[in-house]
Amino acid sequence: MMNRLLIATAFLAWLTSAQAEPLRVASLSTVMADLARQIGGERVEVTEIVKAGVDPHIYEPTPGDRKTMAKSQILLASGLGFEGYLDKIRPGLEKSGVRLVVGGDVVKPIEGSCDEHEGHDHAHGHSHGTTDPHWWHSISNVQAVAAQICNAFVAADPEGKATYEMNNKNLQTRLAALSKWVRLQLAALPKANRVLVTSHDALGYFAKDNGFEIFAVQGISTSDQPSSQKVKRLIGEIKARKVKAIFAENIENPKVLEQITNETGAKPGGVLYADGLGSGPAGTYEGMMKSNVSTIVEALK
Amino acid sequence: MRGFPLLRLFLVAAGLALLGVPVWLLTRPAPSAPPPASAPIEPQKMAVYEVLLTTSAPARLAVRVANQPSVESEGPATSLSASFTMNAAEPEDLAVFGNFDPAAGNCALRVEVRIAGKPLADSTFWGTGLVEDVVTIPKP
Ligand SMILES: [Zn+2]
Repeated sequence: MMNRLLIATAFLAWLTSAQAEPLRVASLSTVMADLARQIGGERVEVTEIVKAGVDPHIYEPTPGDRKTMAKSQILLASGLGFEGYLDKIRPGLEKSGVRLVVGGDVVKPIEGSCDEHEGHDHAHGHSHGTTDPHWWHSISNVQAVAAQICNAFVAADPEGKATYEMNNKNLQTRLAALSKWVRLQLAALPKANRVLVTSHDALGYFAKDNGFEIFAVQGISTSDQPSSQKVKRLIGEIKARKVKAIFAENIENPKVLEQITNETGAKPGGVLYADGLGSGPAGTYEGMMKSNVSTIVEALK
Repeated sequence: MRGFPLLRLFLVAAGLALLGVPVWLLTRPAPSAPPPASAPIEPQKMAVYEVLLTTSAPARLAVRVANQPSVESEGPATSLSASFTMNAAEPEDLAVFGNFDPAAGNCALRVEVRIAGKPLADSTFWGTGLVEDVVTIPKP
């Protein structure tokens, strides 16, 4: 009898300790890391490999990063060519038993306006097709990726199913509220003013959802270089459309943007978070989206 | 030719004018107008949009359109009408608000948009307390 009691106690203790061990999640995307924290709560431990403020277009994993990825149970990545090194590291990760969750697999991709092949440098470190990898600027894509992360967590940790599903449901409600908030803010912005001039072409999904036109100095990667003809044409467009403001990005602020502001008389509209989350209030997806929308409405209305 | 001084004068003048064309082309001031934009801006066709808000319970009502003064009810009301003159080629979105007494429970806010009596949009939003949303008017 005593023996049975001891075995039962030991089994219970093992169960508790098994639950206390959090799911190890590594993320190459600041946006997906935020979603993972919100869905996983205390059941997951999220390690951000690419942190806010790092230019993900030119980031390359260090040996230490590779070790962190190999030790994780789930690795989150944006996909659609955003992480040019992903295909290279995929076989090694699969061998280590890491489950790869690629957001780009479940979103509705759009084409990037990669219109400048003359003088446009494609020999940069990251590889991209013409698909725009910045899917998180559409809230409906983020809702799809949140559901994808939830499913991956349930598959890796079935014990936490109820928690993950409840957290995902709450997150979906908050994202729907955010979507309505965005539409309400943008209703104050005349449609004729919905022109976004940015450093690189990162806000295509936002533009498609909300009826904006994009004029980007660079292509869909921060490493794309504009030709002088493109800059000249852009200056003409900005003057013709009487664009009020031009936006910088939290990571990139090329000199060419300054030249355009000087030559067109458009004012600097503020900083947009293009390639992921920022810090402070923009350190969450909701905060980042609210910051971008407020900056855009304030500058263009 | 020699006997026609007027004709000679005309021919000389015409020759000089022709020679002047390339010089003028090279030296004329650069056009100050910016290069044409890729999307031509259509001439505006203004139209009057009639908006009617109706509710299932009294609420403070408001409707807003970009760049125009908002129209608000004086205190709680069950209807509010407004009209906005907008470019029919690209009408602005309507932001609509109904602030209900939370004790009234789930309430409805209906928004109807018409041009000269012809219905263009009809949406109903439900909620408790503050019900707010955006109505996008289809282009004609
Ligand atoms: Zn980018």
